[in-house]
Amino acid sequence: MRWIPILILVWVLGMSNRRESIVIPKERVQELRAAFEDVHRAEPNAQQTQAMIRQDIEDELLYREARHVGEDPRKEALEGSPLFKKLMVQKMKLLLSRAFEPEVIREDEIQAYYQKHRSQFMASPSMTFQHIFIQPSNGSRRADTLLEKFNEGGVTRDQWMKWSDPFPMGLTFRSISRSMLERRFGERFTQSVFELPIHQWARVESPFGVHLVRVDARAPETLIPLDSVRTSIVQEISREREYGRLDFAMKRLKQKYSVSVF
Amino acid sequence: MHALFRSYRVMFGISMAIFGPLNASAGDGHRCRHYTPDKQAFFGDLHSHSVYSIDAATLDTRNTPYDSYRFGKGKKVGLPPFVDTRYDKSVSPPLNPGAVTDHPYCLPGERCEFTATRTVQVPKGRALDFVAATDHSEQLGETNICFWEGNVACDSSTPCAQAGQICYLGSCVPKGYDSVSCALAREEVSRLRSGTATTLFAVPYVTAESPTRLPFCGPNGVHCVFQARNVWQRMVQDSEAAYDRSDECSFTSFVGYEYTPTPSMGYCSVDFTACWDSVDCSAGQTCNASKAGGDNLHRNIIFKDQNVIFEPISNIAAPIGCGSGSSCVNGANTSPGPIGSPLRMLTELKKQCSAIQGCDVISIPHNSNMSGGAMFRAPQNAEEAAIRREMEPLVEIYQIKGQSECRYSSESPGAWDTLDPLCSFETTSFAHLNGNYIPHPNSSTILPSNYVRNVLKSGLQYAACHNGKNPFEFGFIGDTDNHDGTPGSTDPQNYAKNGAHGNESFTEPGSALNEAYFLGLEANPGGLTVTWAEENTRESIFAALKRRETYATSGTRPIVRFFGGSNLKKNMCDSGHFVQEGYQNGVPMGGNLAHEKKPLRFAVLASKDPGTEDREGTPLQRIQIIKGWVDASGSTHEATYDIAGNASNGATVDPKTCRESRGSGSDALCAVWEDPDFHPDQHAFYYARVIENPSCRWSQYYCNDRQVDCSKKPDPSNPSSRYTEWEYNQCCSGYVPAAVQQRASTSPIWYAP
Repeated sequence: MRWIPILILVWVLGMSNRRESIVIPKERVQELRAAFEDVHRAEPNAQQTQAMIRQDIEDELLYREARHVGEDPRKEALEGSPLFKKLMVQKMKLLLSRAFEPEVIREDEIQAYYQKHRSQFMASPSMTFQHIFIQPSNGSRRADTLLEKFNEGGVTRDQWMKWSDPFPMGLTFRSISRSMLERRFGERFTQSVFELPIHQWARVESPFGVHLVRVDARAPETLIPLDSVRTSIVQEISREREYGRLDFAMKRLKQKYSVSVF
Repeated sequence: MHALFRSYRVMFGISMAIFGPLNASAGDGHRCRHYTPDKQAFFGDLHSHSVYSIDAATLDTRNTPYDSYRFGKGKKVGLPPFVDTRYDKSVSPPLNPGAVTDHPYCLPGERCEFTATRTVQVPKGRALDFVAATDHSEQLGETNICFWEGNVACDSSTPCAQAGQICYLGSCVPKGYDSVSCALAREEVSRLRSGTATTLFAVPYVTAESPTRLPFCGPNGVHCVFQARNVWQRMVQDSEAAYDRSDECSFTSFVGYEYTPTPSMGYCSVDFTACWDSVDCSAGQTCNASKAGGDNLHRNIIFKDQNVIFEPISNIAAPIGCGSGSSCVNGANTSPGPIGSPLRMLTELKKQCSAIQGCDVISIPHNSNMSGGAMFRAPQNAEEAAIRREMEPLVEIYQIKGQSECRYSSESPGAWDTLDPLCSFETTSFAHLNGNYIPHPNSSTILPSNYVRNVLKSGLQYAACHNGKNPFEFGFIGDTDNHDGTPGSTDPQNYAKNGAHGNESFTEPGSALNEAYFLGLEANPGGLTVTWAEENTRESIFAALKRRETYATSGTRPIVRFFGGSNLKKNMCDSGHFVQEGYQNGVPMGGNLAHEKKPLRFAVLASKDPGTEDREGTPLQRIQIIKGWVDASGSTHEATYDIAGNASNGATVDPKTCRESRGSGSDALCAVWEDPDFHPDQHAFYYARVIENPSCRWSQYYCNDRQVDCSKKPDPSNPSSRYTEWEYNQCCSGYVPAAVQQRASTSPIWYAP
């Protein structure tokens, strides 16, 4: 039974059956214009009117095709209401966009998508740094004194940890991304730290107080490995295919109708 | 055309996955480059609703979980009203239609059928680290059927056909779109206000003793249940797509849903146990069951990863309120559980999750403040106590519908079993969800057991009598519970502008100031959950949730560390070794201590919310320790200690400008405190609360935006008045304070003898 919708699709898109012309009378155009005015509180211009007519033709075309391939079991309850036409149009669009065989997305397609959209798959720059924290109440002078000691060299990790005031987020940040650092320390601190030279202690202020910061490593923006984003790429390709199928089908269907607008 | 098509994709994407079982892979186990053994603070929201919730859809919320995750990551999403713009050729068609949303709106500058007229995005640096989209499990299928007539591919052999639905044009058509109920739900959107549809979909599902689905769902609700499974699959897919599996680990998405029982049950006249009618009470008692609204017994169910149960458990499948009364149909079909207890649901959840390889799950109660005292009734047996302890490690204490931590009123100090004046923060005047407004609440109209601090004390009492097994050993979290699909949008300055509940915020802006509306003046922007975890992965964050290494904030972002133990050094605040020493010599927030001989010490280290580029964070006023204990006679007590900072620091906020006075308060605070009254033989809990200096409440921002001048009543006959009489009355009434003190409360550390 799985072939039934496929047959429907073949029949709908087949070029052999020419359809009765679609006629958009003057009254219908006026209705559309009036509906536009209701929403926008302004008369549609010529371009907008044309767009509405085009939309109306597409809806009518899809509705007719839906009626050709079978009656909705709810016809009795719904026919005559605008809802009925809307549902028919929905059904046809769904049918025309559907893949009736399991989607096969080849590795080369995934690779191609990954390369084409590589800007979407960039990990933000990151850095590893250590810092000691000095509370504002402990004074700016202390920061300067400590910075001098650091610049003289020979300070051990245990020493500088002792000199630091306690800091809830810790004193070492390993490969923290720029965006995550912004969430923790704010934009200004992040900007300053990302501009520091490597392996040198420097004084930076944050919303929490004063920090003496030593950047140990910095990594630029990098391309996320394909395997980490494969799932979302597959979804995106699948989504693009749906749009493509619908576009293709609409073009085919339009060739089956002649249209007159008055 | 593309955008119109988007609306139909809701279910179409599911069709590819629906016929197979959910992927049952093991945990992904990937390691983040920012991995930190001493843990980092990650901010998140585990409670927000999208268009898949009936009470969001009827308010024209169109954001789906897909959009919610995007918002959490810092992207822009749309809010109602949506205008029909398919004919507007002044803008170009979207170049990448998939980049916006699957659903029927687009953002300004793009062309599609409907364009959002309002957009919302968190400021730079305010993106979240993790999010769970938690739509109501009860009407997942109904909402979809009513609003989109969702479809899946079908033929005669597919489950939808077997479920008795129509297979038409190759699509499975759930019955119901054209039902009166669905028409009402859709009409509610066009009427731009919440009304009968929400009630229609709430009463049989969540408040009735024997919950049922609406007739359009077919026999045993088959059509709606089927559709709910499709939606659930979609929710899982959206969560999967949002999860950052790269080593940057920039964002973690959780799969979740909200179990939403709101039973309109009562209590027995003598022993106050839950009942539906007198047959549920022991001999001689009557059941006092008449009331407006229902007891909020809601839980958010959060899964560790994509290994989830086949369909969300709803109040229809596992009714919480179903007792042994004669009208309890479900109770007759299964063994009747204790009335108002989550036992049946938790048991079913555990059973189903255990059958799925890799599945792990927790249940998080929220809004006990509107539960009529029923959220945390004492377990009726050991089985119930054990499963609640095992599966409910956390409780949500801050969110839009008020705080549930504790309650205090200067008019009746001690009425809610506390003399802690800071417990007057963001309380509400509703004992039940959708219940009546109570102008002058007292402890008999809003029960003390609505508040978590009292529940924690009851838990100690229970543990003291039951071999230390405490069913209420909760950690704390905060969330938004907004219905816009905008998790983490807790900024008070923008709360009234953006709203939290779809079109209500723009169609009836005045309703935000209505003190008698449960989402009005007494509501607030909601809170956030903070976890201490090694890295931003599902595995690491979920583990932190389970071990309760979490804290709740009322919406701002202070950073708080909290350790306890008798071996903590007194001088921890003197060096940068604070964190390492905390873990080496004590336990972190959420931890357990036992059998101590020496007095317990607690170390708290906090830094203020760093703020954003546009707005500085508010300095800290003080750190407090809240202790609860049970004495030898079984009586419970509590005490609050200020351990750092200064309550009288003189910091103020100018209500007219919302400018905060600087120069007082602290950017960071640290203290080590020893319990002067520690008793090794008494069960106790201790948690830290970090209090910010005063800042404007959201309502004050609203009133200032409207330029309401309380010295100048508007002239109703003057149409050019900047503000209405209603706004004047509400802004100047004093119903709510102009300023509040935002805060963070850590999970307690528990002591057992």
